[in-house]
Amino acid sequence: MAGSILGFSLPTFWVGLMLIMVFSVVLGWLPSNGRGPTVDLFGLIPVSFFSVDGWRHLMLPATNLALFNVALLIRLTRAGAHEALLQDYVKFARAKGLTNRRIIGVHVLRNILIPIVTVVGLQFGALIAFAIVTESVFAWPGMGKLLIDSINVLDRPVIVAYLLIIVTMFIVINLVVDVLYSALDPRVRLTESKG
Amino acid sequence: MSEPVLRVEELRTHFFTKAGVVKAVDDVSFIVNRGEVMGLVGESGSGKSMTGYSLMGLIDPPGRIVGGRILLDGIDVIKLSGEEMRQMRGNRVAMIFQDPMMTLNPVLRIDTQMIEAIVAHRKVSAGDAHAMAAAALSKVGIPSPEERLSAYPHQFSGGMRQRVAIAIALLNEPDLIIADEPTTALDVTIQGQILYEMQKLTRETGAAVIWITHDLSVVAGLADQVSVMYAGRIVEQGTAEQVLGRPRHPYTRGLLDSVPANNARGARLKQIPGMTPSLLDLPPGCPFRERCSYAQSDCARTPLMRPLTAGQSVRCHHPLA
Amino acid sequence: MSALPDTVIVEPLATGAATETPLGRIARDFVTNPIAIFGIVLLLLVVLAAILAPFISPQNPYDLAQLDVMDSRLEPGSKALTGGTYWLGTDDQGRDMLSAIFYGLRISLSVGVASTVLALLIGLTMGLAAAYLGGRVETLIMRIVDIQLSFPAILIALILIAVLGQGTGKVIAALVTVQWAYYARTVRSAALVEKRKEYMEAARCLALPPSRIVFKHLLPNCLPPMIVVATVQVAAAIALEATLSFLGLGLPITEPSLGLLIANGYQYLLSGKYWISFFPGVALLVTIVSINLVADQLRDVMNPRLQK
Repeated sequence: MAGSILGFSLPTFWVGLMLIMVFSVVLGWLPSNGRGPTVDLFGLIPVSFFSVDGWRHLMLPATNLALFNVALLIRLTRAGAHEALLQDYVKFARAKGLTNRRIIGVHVLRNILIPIVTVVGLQFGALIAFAIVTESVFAWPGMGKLLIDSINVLDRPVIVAYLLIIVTMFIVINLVVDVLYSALDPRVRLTESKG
Repeated sequence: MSEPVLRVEELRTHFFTKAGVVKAVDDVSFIVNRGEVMGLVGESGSGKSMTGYSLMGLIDPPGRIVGGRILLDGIDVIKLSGEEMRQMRGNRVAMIFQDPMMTLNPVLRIDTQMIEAIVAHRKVSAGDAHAMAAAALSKVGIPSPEERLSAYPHQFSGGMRQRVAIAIALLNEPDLIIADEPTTALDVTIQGQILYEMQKLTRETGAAVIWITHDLSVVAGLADQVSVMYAGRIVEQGTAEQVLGRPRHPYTRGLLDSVPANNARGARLKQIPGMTPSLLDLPPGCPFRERCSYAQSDCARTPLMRPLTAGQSVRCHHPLA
Repeated sequence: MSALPDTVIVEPLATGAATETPLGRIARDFVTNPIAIFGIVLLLLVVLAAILAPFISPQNPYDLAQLDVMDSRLEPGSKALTGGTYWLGTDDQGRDMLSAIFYGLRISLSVGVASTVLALLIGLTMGLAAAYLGGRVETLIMRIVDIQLSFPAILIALILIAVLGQGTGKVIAALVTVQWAYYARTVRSAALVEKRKEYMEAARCLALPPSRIVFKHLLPNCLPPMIVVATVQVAAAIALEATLSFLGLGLPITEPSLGLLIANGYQYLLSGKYWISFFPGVALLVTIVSINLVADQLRDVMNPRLQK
């Protein structure tokens, strides 16, 4: 529990620096910046994840971005499972003689999946924001780094364009989360007729 | 008479809380024979539900069974391991709970919840299990079971949900069913239907039933044997005719007198004065002493269960005539 | 008339229970968790270090007369030319890292706390106004809050800095703008719950002036959740300010917070001179973790649902 507070308190950029320090400088396993060699997808878009070297460049930034969400999700799942285990249907499931694995894996999981999916969907927004920091730390040529560079040189049109794209993404993600919510919780469906 | 399905001897279940030890079940003994219905009667806090949970092995910390034996078909279930007990639950002994709204998982379909109860104990194909579930639903009187199986719990009414819970309990043909106040949360008319169904089903399958309730009228029509609980102990035990027709313990007498139907119209309703004692620090002696109008000085000594006539026992120094 | 039942059993009050104040109970419950005690001790150390920075630092890192470029980029534990030890090494200008961290803590903490307090005041006012006035005022305020809260804080802060330009005041303004919505929403929910309670009805019946009702009756009961939120937000504000400074868009170089120190050391990371970034990062981490530990325990202690 205290460990998850640690995960949630670590500032993303510092974790990135530490990852570089440990894995690039000390251990020398993974490269510390850039994205490696690229291949043109459809002859237009350079992408790097078709080569092993490209994946090696991807590892550290991806881990850095994931860490915050992992800590948050652990806390959320733990709190949700804690509450779910006190419910009557768990007692009934035990009375039916189900194995613990089934009770947690099916009964409890289905119930806590709803708030978790909601949060994961909403965290997409935070992911995009933290990507700005991560891309700066790892010199990854993405939209986030573009934004920072544009702010530094006061390239206003790029900033505005970035904002527009991000806002659209947010709206779409929120819509998807809403739809997913009703798919997961049978009580929320609007068009079902009463049995 | 063959060996009884259930023999409980001096069962003690205590809860070790920060405030002290709560003796929820304190020296409870009874026998239930095959095909018999035992009514376990008492107010809330008397320990009747805890007795039921102890029989199922569902007592969680800070509670623990601290003494006694529970012999289900001759096997002492207290001594079983966790996995062995799990195999008994839902298989040889099943339980029905009070609130059907919350005992069924709201996000899973009915067939999922029924089929899993079957396959947890037997190797059956999914198709066969589905057919067994449909058969069980029609046995408890639910129309068009095939459609109902694909539904979710919130699409059923309270009475239907409880029937589903009963069907689940009966799926693996248990020897013993523990019903913990299954009709308390339902309308009176539905209550009657459920009681009728239970009676019919237990007669058909030969399962023994422990019916836990605070409602004497339910027990009157349904039970063969009755045990009355107070403050974690059984205070009176016998056949339904004996206990309800001629109660020997002042508490049982008080319970019967409290039922409004028993009183003449316009007469003052009788009540047992005082409140049920806190199980945290019970004073020594008879726990009913404070509220008993027949209490005498020697009631400060804890009474033991004593048989009076054939089959009727009482825990009282001065049983009623 | 028959006598009342004479055997009603009344539980005696535990001695001392009637005389304990809410604050006393909170304090008592707080210290039951050893992790929380650890957190608050850590936090006190951090705050003390920040307040006493000029007195406990071996060197004033911003007094150019004291610096010697020959001492730059020394490893932790190296000896200075003037005697004394650089416990945590020096940075590229010859500044002692330990002293720089103490001074940096000061700035990071003051900016974090200042922005939180300002945001708290603004959010409190807006939230209370929304709850008490209701109607279109409430809808307007809450829609703004909703819109703002659906965007991640860094994004809003970055755009604001891009628009406003740099500088301490502007950074604080950005932090405040990012945070106030959180308080407004929390206060409004709490106030809505409290509004339905009977003492509010009674206050209205007594025809007390609205300002008195809001400030003397409504506000104190909405405070517990606010305190928890505020504590967490201080940590978040400090982290956000550090992130902004790291990206070069935060406080100016004349106010070197921990984020800036970390940024300074970034370029030396690959050549193995890790201490210039590492130790300020640890200081930042310790600060944030201790605040979060305290906030976590506060939340558990103040949660009425967990009271038995």
